[in-house]
Amino acid sequence: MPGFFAPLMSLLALMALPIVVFYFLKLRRQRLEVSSLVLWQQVLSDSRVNAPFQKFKRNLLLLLQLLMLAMLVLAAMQPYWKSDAERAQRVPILIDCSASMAAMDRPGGQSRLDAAKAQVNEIIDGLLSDQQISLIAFSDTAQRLCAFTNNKRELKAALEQVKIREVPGDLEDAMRMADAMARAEPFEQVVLFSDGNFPAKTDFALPFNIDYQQLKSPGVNMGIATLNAQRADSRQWDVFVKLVAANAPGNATVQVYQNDQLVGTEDVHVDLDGPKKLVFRLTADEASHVTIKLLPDSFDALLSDNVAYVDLTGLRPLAVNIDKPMVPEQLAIKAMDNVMLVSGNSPADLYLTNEPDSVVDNVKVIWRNGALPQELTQLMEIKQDAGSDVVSWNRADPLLGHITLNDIIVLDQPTLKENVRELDFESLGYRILIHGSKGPLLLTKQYDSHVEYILTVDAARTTLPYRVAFPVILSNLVRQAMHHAGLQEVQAHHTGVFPPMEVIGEKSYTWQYPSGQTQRVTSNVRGKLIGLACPSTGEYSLKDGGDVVLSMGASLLNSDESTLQSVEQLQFRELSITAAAKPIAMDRSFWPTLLWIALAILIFEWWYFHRQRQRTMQNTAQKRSPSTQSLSAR
Amino acid sequence: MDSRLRGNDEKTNNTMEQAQVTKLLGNDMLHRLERLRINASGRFTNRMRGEHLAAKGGSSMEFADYRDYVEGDDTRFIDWNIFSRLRKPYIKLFHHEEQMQIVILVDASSSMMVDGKLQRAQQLAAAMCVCGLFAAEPVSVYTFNQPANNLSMVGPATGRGSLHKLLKFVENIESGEGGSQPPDDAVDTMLKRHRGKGIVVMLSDFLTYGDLKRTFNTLNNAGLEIFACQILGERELDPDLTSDLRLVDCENADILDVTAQDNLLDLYHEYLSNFQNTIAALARQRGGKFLCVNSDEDLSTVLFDQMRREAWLV
Repeated sequence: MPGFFAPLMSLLALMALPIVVFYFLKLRRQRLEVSSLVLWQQVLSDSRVNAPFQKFKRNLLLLLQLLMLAMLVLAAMQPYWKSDAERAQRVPILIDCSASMAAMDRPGGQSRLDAAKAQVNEIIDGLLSDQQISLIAFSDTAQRLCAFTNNKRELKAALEQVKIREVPGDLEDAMRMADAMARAEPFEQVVLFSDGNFPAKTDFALPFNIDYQQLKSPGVNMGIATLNAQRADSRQWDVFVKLVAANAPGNATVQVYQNDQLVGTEDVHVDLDGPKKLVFRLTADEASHVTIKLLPDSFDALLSDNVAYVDLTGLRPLAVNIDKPMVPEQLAIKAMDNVMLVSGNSPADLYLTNEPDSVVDNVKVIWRNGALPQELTQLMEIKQDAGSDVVSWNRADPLLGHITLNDIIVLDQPTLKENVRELDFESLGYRILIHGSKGPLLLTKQYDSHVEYILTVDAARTTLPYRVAFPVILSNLVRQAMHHAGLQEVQAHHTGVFPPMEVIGEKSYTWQYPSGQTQRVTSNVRGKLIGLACPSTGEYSLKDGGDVVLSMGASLLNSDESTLQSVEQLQFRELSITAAAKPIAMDRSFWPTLLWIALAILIFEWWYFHRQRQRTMQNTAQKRSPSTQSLSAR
Repeated sequence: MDSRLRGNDEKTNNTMEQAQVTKLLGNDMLHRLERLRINASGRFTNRMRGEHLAAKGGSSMEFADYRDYVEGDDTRFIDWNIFSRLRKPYIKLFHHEEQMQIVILVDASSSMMVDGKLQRAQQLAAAMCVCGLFAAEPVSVYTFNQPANNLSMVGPATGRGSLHKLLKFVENIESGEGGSQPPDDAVDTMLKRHRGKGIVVMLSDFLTYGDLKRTFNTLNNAGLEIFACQILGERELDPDLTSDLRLVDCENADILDVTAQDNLLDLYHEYLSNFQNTIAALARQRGGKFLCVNSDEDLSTVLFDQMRREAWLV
């Protein structure tokens, strides 16, 4: 049903009066004297001349002018087709631009993001002057592309900015942004364009309705879902690759490159039933860059998950520095494989000390035995010979896995000072791993460069060295140190944001993206580069002038994205939203169509007017030509 | 006058200006017209002897036919040569030459002033006068315009000596200002003065609201064979409708608004053709002839081509 946005413009129809008046005033006929009107009167009284159609043709030009005016007046009234949906004046549109939105339905076809942009473009085209739209692109985070506006040029420019971010999708951030916008400029409905490839449950209480426009299912896809490496022995890594398929099983070839050298190839068949797991054993005496390429035999909907990168560190023994008085610890660690004991102030990956503040270079894990740092002395004290029991311990912590501490006897008693609670430790960044009867026995704190474990009492004044738990704890400690030193296992970096990188403090570097685009970044005072973005898969490099300081790859590595899973029902805190069965119904203005019709009428009128004159002139010329011929003949 | 006519006249003026008999016709045309006769059916003739061969037999010197002798026939007309050979009497028949009145009726109403129609009527009237006089027929010329009862005329004149008088009269025919006398009134007036049978050559555009059927019946009943010559201008034969027009009747100043339409000209031509067919049928039904002449057409073409092909002149 049509409606009019500016019905008062119908008053322009009064312009028909002057048009009619001027038409007939302008119709000043040329006087022509004739011998007699006998024949003309008979002709004009003929029924064929006075047929309704002939009367219509006689004033066709006037009728065309009135029709054109009618089209212009209707266009000025800004008509629109009312949709079934309730008329919304302010609508934010959320556009999913996560990795799976780049999936195409067929070779050379349209990606789902392109399909979403086409639909949004139609909505923008049909936008009425009292309606406003805001565009929000979201992937793992949300970004508002433009505020509420009805400026179509601005909206289309913002829509052009929507690019694929090869990261997993997450709806929650977008919902929170929309919620924040709703507080400033209220609205009742949000339009969501997505393939539904994000967690089905979102911890968010919806203050508005969601029109969930789910995009159609894409074609088949195969991708690398997982890539990591574990130390196999003193010189080799085992590289684990997990492949998944979406919509149809398929065959592919997996190629493994180490420092750009092809070191392994394997043909695989990936079923829909479960992932295909591959293991490649690589020698790594030095740090190396490993690239896994998946080459599907047939069409592949998503390209970003066909390549993955992992950076292997050069394998070496773990350097452990232990203060001399700690004999039990030295004996236990010395018996372990891939461990090298150092002494003095030599750099080490693992440092075991009795001192509260001492540190060695390159340390990843510090174990402080019976030494309270200065900040902890304000919260607790050690009462000599007071005795303490182990009340509980954090079994989920990797350091305390597979042990029991029930029968441990502690001679000294860590005691909390008055009015000190556990929250006070947390406020300082400490986490309690073993609780004693009066205070914590073991705490840990994560620093930028390393992790510290603080045993508040001296191990020598406990029965711990005589229990099985002691070498297990030390073994876990060594494994933690190997993990932090990158000697135990390596995970491939996911797209999004790289972990903090250690460089020279307060120095500017050039961060180069896989596309060649560069960005200037500056390290902080502690020599950390934080928040380096990696929105797409590929190899990134950190350059100091022309020299490459660091090089690393980012990979999608998300099983949900690679399997192109689609959630048809979004579960929010209080209600669930089902994907809409039909495309979004917006009010559609059609005044441009009327303007085109008016233009067509104008062109037809011009053509008709000149055709009539031309035909008459041609007839006249043809009639005169025989006389001219007879004259020339004479 | 039309440019072609003027061109013809100028040519004549340049060569033999002093000797030109009339400004309506060139001398060369006059010489050609002297040898032509008006092709009447001969049904309407006076009993007076003349040079026009009557349809029935007579006593002229021109042999017509033979027939069987019947009792009571004048024996002077028996062909004795035939009798001597065939031993059977035959009577020789001769053509009867009677006098045929030639009446030329020229429409000089205002409508004839358009597109040189009156000039063309004058030229045709002069040509008919020449043909009639050189055939030793009595020729009379009538013109009609306003007022209705004031009919100008000359004749009947006979013999070549009357040529100058007739041509002078024809040359001096003028259109009456606003004259709109219909042909039927003019014929009625003419027949009040005219006596004798023969032919009547009507030179008019026949664009009248009057009843032509009555007019033609009147002429036919008066013993005049009808030679209806319709003279139309280019604007009447092929009107130019380039835009919306207000047509003004030159006789009564009536106006009529005409809007240019695709099929209007086709309708006009259809009506014109029907009108001409009606006049032709009225003439033919009374033993007469009809001819439509374009006032723009070359005069020699009209006289020596069109009129001869239509058997007006022989």
